[in-house]
Amino acid sequence: MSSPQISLTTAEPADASSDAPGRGRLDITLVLSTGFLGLVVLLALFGPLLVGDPEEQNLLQRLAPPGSAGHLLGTDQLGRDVLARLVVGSRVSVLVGITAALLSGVIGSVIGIVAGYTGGWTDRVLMRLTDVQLAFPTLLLALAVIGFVGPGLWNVILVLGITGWVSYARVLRSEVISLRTREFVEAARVMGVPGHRIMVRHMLPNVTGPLVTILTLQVGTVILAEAALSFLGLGVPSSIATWGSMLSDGQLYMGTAWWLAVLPGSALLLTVLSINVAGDAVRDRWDPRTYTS
Amino acid sequence: MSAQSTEPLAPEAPVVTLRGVSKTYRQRRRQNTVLDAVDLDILPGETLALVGESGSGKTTLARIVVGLTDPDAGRILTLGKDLDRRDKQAAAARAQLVQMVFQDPYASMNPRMRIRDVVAEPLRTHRRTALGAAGIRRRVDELLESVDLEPSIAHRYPHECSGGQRQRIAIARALALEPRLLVLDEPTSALDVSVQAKILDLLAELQERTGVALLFVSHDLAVVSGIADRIAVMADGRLQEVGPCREVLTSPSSEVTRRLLDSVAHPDPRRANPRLTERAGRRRA
Repeated sequence: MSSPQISLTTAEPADASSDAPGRGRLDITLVLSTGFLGLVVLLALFGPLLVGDPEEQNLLQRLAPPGSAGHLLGTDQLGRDVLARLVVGSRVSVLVGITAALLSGVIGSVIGIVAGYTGGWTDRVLMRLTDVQLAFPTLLLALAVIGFVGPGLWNVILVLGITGWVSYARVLRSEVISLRTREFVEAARVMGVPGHRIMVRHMLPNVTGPLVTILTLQVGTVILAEAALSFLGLGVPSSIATWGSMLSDGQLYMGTAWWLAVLPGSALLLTVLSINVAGDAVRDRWDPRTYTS
Repeated sequence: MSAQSTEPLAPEAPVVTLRGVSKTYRQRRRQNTVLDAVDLDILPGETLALVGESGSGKTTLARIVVGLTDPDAGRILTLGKDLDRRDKQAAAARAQLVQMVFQDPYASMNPRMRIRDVVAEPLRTHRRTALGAAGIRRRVDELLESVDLEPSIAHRYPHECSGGQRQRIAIARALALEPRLLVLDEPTSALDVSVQAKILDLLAELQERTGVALLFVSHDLAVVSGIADRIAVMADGRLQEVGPCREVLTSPSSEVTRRLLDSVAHPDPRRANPRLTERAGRRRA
């Protein structure tokens, strides 16, 4: 009588793990990446209250290495605290990354879904438009526009947002073309569901996987693009600390003060990496067919 | 013709009339004529089986009837009116008169929508102002009940339902607007044999209750023989013969029909065709 009970209790943990294969591994990366992202967002929101003035210069303490008294992560060539600048700089990266990626996501999704679902002339015109946009190096276009309208935080967001839609449009268009002939879309057409409703109710929910994937990749790309623009002195005004401008200033001192470039670079790398990992996990769980309840 | 005379068919005008309907697909230089001048009437309340081998054009014909495909030539009259697919009002009118159940019930439902929303979609499209949110919810429960499903299934996603349940849901959705004609494209071929029979029973019962006409597309005469009033046999894009179920099964006038009858699998090969007709007769009685 007791043997089935024993086998039941021993079988239980094995069952639980086989129900969700790879779940433990997924959870660790997910926890690490979302934890890091949470930290970055928290620092962007409240960090500036905790650290000193990022602009305070002290020429007596130039290029102090990390671990110096009063400067946990050292100082830069003007004696400014690197930790304070990193924390304040995260604001620009997070803000630009998320807003610009969302903006281009909205533009690109609309163009891609409409082109893919409507087909015909609409599709041809929209796709030539994406070809033109794609033929233009994004950063060059951003440079030209910034040169014209002048640098500034919101100009950077706007430019990066408007230029980043191509990858969304391309991928979502091909997804929608394959969805268009699926039976549930035909069923909706037989039911007389109007085109715009089919796009919103049937297309959009079924392309969230690739959409989230591109969105997370795009957040990373945009953060890097903002860094590049700041690096070239065309991004956010130099009076605001950003990871990009820190990287740009720091690379001059690569041989003597490695931390000036390596620290903002690592922050950038870890943030972009975490966004991509978290995006993958979100995409996997978004699908109602893959989660177990 | 004796079986036919008891059916209340003749006096009413057809639900759908097809005249000279043709469709040709062009593949590079080759022309592939899928439908060649098809004339067909679908009468109110009848079950018309459209049978033929794969590639005979039966699915294309079904798609043309529901407006998913445009014919190259010919006219389709729905309740005597020519409903052009490109005209929004006409398309909406057709949607409320003619509905479809697809072969694969899983593929015919958006995997991201709960069953409640799947069944409510035609109502939200055409009856939103007439019913209101509460009215739609009641009607969805009603529809699920009419296909013998628990209303609690409404919270599930399509992948959480069985094949038979999904096809019932698809039928409930197709009946939501109380259409006059239901086009069924191989509605049982993706299901287990035991489930097939239950779905066929359900269709017969629903037809009795609502008086909806059924256009039942199938490659399998055995499935069709039990439920059809009339059978239309297709081959090479043409209607080979159209007639009362019994007549077509017992004295087929075309070679194609004989071939289809021979291909029906039987548990007892010695009693092949008589068994088919026996079932047809039993159902009619």
